[in-house]
Amino acid sequence: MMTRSDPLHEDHPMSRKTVALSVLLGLVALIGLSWAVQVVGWAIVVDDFAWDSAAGRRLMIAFPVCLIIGGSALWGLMRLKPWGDPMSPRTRKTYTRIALAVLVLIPATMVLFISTFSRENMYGIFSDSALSPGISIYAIVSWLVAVTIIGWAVLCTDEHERRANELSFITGGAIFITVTPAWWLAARADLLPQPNAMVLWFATVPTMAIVALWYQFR
Amino acid sequence: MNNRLKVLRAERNWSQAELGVRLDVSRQAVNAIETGKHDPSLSLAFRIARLFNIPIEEIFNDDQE
Repeated sequence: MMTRSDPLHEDHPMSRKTVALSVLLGLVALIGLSWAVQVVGWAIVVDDFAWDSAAGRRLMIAFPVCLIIGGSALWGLMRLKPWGDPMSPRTRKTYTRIALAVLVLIPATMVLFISTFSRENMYGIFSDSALSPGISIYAIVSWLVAVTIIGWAVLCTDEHERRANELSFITGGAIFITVTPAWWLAARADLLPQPNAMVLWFATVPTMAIVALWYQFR
Repeated sequence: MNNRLKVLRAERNWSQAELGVRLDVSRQAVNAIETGKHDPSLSLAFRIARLFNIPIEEIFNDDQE
């Protein structure tokens, strides 16, 4: 029996108000997020860009503001969900927390990208090039916060998704346990270069994601 | 494990997402249970039985007989 507290009691009426609000939120999200991208692109294009310059300080303010505006509008649109099936409160909570983790990671990724970008080395973010201590600490803190939020999100997943996560972590652990010592031994015999933590990371994490998504959506 | 979840859902004209909302699980979880790819936990099985107001044994069958 449906009660007033039943999440299906209000069954997503597509009133004119809902449609108008959806369109408005979609536009704000699109404008906000594209401005954020443009701000970053501008920082890349400008020669001799420096964070402590007037331009750098404007970027440090403009980028997160655009991100917050666009991200908030997108979040509002996801809450309104005018397009499809209803979502259980638990699922909505999980997705919201994951989105929060992504929002934490995006600025850190952009800062890392811009600080390591050069026309000679466009993918410097993936290299072992030097970083300033401030950027390094900011990136580390952002990563720790994002991982904590994702762990918080995992806590409220349903049992099916929890099983998917268990399998993905078992897979990741198996890859790490198997590959790391083998690579280390091979490096000691000069059969392979020295083990690289980020190579292991990029081998493990996408595989874990594929396993989790496969199990969840098969 | 076999189950009659899809039939029971169809009788009430609920989508998988709607059933998921009522059980507080994702649509994917409902789909996985209906297709036999995931056996629900005891607590979820009891919630399903309470939702449809029928005994668990009339919903789930492990074909052990």
